[in-house]
Parts: sequence; structure tokens; C-alpha cells
Amino acid sequence: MEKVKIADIFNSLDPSAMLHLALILAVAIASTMVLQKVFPWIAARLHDQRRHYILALVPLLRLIIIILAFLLSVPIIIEPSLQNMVALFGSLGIALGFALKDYASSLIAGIVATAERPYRSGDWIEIGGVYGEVTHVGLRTVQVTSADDTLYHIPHLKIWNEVVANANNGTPRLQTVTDFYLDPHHDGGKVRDILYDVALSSAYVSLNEPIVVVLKEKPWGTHYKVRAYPVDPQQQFNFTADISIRGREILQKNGFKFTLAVLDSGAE
Amino acid sequence: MGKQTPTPKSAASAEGEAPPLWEFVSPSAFVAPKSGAEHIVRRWDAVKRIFKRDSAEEESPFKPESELQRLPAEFLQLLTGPVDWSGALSALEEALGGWSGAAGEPKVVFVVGAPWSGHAKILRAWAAARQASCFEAPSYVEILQYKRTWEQIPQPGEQPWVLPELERCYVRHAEGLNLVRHFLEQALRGTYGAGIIGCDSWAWAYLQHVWPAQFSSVLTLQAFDGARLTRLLRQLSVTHIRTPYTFKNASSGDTVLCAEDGSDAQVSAAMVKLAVRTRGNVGLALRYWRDVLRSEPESAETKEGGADVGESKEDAAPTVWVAPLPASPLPPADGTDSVALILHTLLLHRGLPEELLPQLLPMSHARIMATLLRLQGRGIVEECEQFWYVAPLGYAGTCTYLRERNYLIDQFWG
Repeated sequence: MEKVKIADIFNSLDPSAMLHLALILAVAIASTMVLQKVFPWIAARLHDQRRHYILALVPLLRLIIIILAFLLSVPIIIEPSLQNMVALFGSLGIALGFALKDYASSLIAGIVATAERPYRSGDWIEIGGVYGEVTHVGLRTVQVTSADDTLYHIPHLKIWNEVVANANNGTPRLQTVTDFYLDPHHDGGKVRDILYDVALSSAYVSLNEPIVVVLKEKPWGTHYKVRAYPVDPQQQFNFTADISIRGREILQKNGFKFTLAVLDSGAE
Repeated sequence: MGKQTPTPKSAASAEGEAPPLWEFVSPSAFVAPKSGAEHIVRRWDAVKRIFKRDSAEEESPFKPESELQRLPAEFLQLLTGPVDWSGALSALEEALGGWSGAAGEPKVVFVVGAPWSGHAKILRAWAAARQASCFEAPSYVEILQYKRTWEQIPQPGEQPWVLPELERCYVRHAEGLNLVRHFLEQALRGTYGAGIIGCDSWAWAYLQHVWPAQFSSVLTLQAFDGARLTRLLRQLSVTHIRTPYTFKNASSGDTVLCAEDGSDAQVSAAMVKLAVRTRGNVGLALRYWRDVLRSEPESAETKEGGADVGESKEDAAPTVWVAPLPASPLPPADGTDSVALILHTLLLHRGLPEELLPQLLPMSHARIMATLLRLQGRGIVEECEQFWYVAPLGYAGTCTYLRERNYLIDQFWG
């Protein structure tokens, strides 16, 4: 059987071929850059479901651009026979597997993330202890901006073995939870009614979604949770702050006492 | 009205017969005027807004052509108002159909209307005509302190009472909802006897969440489409002035409205556009109408009761020119929530006093005032005796702005 040397499978790259390759590369890079600028720019001017659709299109379209560029480039570089392809990809696979294992894993995970969509731009996710809004889904990493405006670059390979918590999953629906810790000697029904009205009267509340107030008795008192949805996921921190401020004010006005100390082990 | 629930009749039942000018229907039968291209135009406007730079100048209301000028206020008043509500009262009577809140009938009938649609005025006029008791809303202090007892409302057995402004009976505040809940519960149980309650459509949308009962007896004024608007504006133009005027498009010269023409078939494109722009809201349409009427400078000196405003060359009828509808100013997209929160709060209460706003909004008085003054400069809100309202000509832009941001909006603009 004839042995195939790796060097033999490559075509000789004359200036014309080099120009073709350069053009393909330039168009692919330019298209990707335009895509990554224009789509988020448009999305920033929208405030509903369309925003999430447009942001989610970015990694998908970028993947399509990369595949197209690859398919156009390969016949220029090599003779696209089965034998040559197996030889090339086998060699590439071995090289990547040893030298750039994590990098390659992140790239592949990025493709999987584009298909499975555990997160999309505009989603609020928690991954590896970081909670924030997905601002960019790149080839190797996902960029997450936290509430304190810190940008985290998290490699896609985290999706292989870590839990990804997605708070709104590509929609404007994002539930928030606001906690209240009260001294146990009180009228629970009245507190529940007050906290319900506090959420219902918030300027941020989405009235198309349910408002629920739940409570649980703890050794140190009663733990109330107000579950409600803001109109826009980006309002979540202002929303919980608003409920906290107004809830505390009205509960105090009605004579309800807050617990002075909550054991760490008891709080949820 | 039927024995069980108000069942407004479809007045245009006879084939070929023009529908009545005023008609009360259930909200599900409300048909907002539409033009064929409305959907496309709305989409195109949405696309333009994405690429448009935020500029107060670009979004300022329409500026009249230099050769035309606005009509003098006195003449404008004679030409466009006031509206005679007697037709609306008859329509309401017809929709109620002898309802009295007797056994087997609903105790309360709700009349819901969009801002400026005139439902509160109609109910007050109806109460005056029937010599029924008309109750005003409690003060905001009474609402927040839950002090109103509704003792003024008569006991069952007397004739129906009227509460024209339910939107003034609550405050979107954790302590401002129980009073209206209590009132609605007692009213629907029949504690106060038969009554008619008027409510602004935005407050109505919110109150469905505050007190989520099934309201079966709800009426609303049917939308004023191009034909209805033509008839109404023609009536208004000849009610107080002897001379019939012709209203012509200032751009094309086409007749928009002819006071002498009794034919209902002639509805100009401008009238259809006005109806579509205002979603059939008669009060809003009148505001726009008053805003677009113009006269020529040389004929601006009008004599009360029918002097010339302008004369077209080809006929002798005096002419009032109709400028293009002004673009509804859009609130600024400044990347913060302040504008949306303030406008939404104002609409849910149909205007609020300045001192109450900081209690209902998660921002300081200074920030609220800074935003309000900025919006006032763009013609989106207006102030009247320390009350802040969304301005009529800013209403359409505000509704679009809030709808795009997923805020709760009323059923007539939804």
C-alpha cells in the first residue's frame, strides 16, 4: 500500500491560490466582525423577545461563516479526496489532542453550545460561581458581565462538567426572589398580603407573570420569599431593591419586627 | 340590555344602514380603525426608530407651513366644539336597555374608556339627566390611609348611582389598593345597590390584577372610524357657526371635510388616517383635529359666527386648511428606566399630583422632576395645576414606547 506523506497531500500554493485564500479569510473575518457589531447594536435598541432572537443568531451565523470559509479553503489547499482528508484531519486531531487539548475542547464545546443553547446572548446565567448577563458568545469563551460590571471570559468547556444555571433561557421572563426575615411572633397571613401588594405595586413588576409569596419557619424566625418577575431582566436588581425598601418600610410601619441575627446555616 | 347582563345591540344591523354616531359595545366588540397599510407602516416606523439618532429636534411635533397659521382660539372653539353628548347618552341608554340592577341582573355596570374618550363626561351627563347620584373619588390621603367608608352611596332600592372615575379610587402603592378592592367587592355584591362605574382603560388593565374577578357587564364606546369622525366633525363645524366651511388638505388641496355635503359615503383619506392614528378615540381625534386646522394669513381675521377664513379660487365656500397630522413625539431612549416608569405610572392613574410621584416611583423627587421637565420639553407630558399627565399628542408615541418594552398597556392600544 502506498504511504501518503502529509506534505504530499497539499497543493502547491501559487500566488493566485494565496490570493484566493487571503480573500476568503478577509471576507470571513470582516463578515464576522460586522456580524458581531451590528447585531448586538440592533438588539440593544429592542426590548422584547426580538432582542433575544437577534442576539442568539450571532454565534449561529458566525459558525456558518466559519464553515463556509473552511469549505471554500480546503479545496485550494489540498486535493479533496477521502484519503487526503483522513490524513489531514487525523494529523490535525493528534496535534490538537496533545498540544491544544483544552483549547480544542472549548472550540468544540462552543459548537455544541451553539446547537444546544445552554446560554445565549442576553441570558442571565450562573456558571462557575459567576452570575451575570451573557454579552457575547465567542468561539472559545462566553463573556458574562456581572451586576458590578465585571466582564468574565468563561471557556465553553465548562459546559462538559459544570452546572449552567440559566435564569431566563432566551426569554424576557426572569424570576427574582426577595427575602425577608421576620421575628416569628407575628400574623403570617397579614405579612403575606402586605408583601404581595408590595410586589404588585412595584413600578418594575411584570403583571403578566405570577407573584407568589412563600414562607418557611426557621429556628431563628420566619423566612419570607417574594417571587415575582420584572418587566425586563435587566431590572432584576432594581426590582428586588425596590421590593426590599418598600416592604421593609411598610412592615415596620405595621409593627412587624425583623430578626436581629440570622445564623448562616439557617438562612437560605 | 338583557335581563342578565348588558348586551349592547349591534346598531349597524340593517344592511346598508350607516351605524349610529355613538354606540356602546362590549370591549370584545371594539373594532379599532385600520388602514390596509397600517401594519407595514408600523413595522417600518419600528425599523426607522432602531437606526434613528435620538434627538429632540427630530422628534419635535410638526411645524406648520410658513404660509399658513393656526386658527384663533375663539374661532377654533366655535369650529370644533364643544361636543354634544346627548347622542352618547341615548346610546348608553340603549346599551343599558332598561337595566336597573334588579334581581337577576348585574348590580354594577362598568363603562371603560381610553384616555380622552369622554366616558367620564358621558356618565356625569347621564347622572345629571337621570338625576342619579354622582360620586367623586376619595382623596389620595383617604385612599392611602384607607379611611373612605363609601357611606354617601345610597342603599339598595334607590335608583342607580354613578362613579365616573374609578381610576381615581386607587393608588399603585402597597397601601393604596385595599380601598378599591373593598369597594369593588361591596359594589359587585350589591351592598350599595345598582350603580354604573366609569374607569380609564389603563387603570382598568391594572385593576384586573389587583382584583381579578370576572367582570361580565362592561361597556365601552365603539371606535370612531373615518365615517363616524367625518359625521361628528361636520356636525361640530356647523353647530356654532352659520357659514358652512370646507376643510381642505393643505398639501394637496383635496377636500377633507365638506360641511354642506350630507353624504356619508364620502370619507376622505385624511379622516381615515386620523381615525387610525387615534385608534378611534374620539377625544384624541378632536385634539389632533384642533391641532391641524390652519388659515391663510390674509384671511385670519375671523369674525365670530361665520367670517371667511380663506377662499379657494374655484368656489365661494370659505376654506379652512388642514395641515398634515403631526408626528407623535417619542420618549427618549436614554438607556435608563426612568422615562418608561414615569410615563407608565402617569397612564395607570390618568395623571398624578407632583407630590405623590416619589411615593409611587423608585427614584428621587429631583430625578422625577428632571425627567418630567425633559419630557414636557418634547411635548410628551403636560402639567396642569400641579398634576402631570401624558399629553394627548404624545399619547401614541408613549403607547408604542411602552408596548415595545413589555409594559402592561390598555386593551385599546394592545
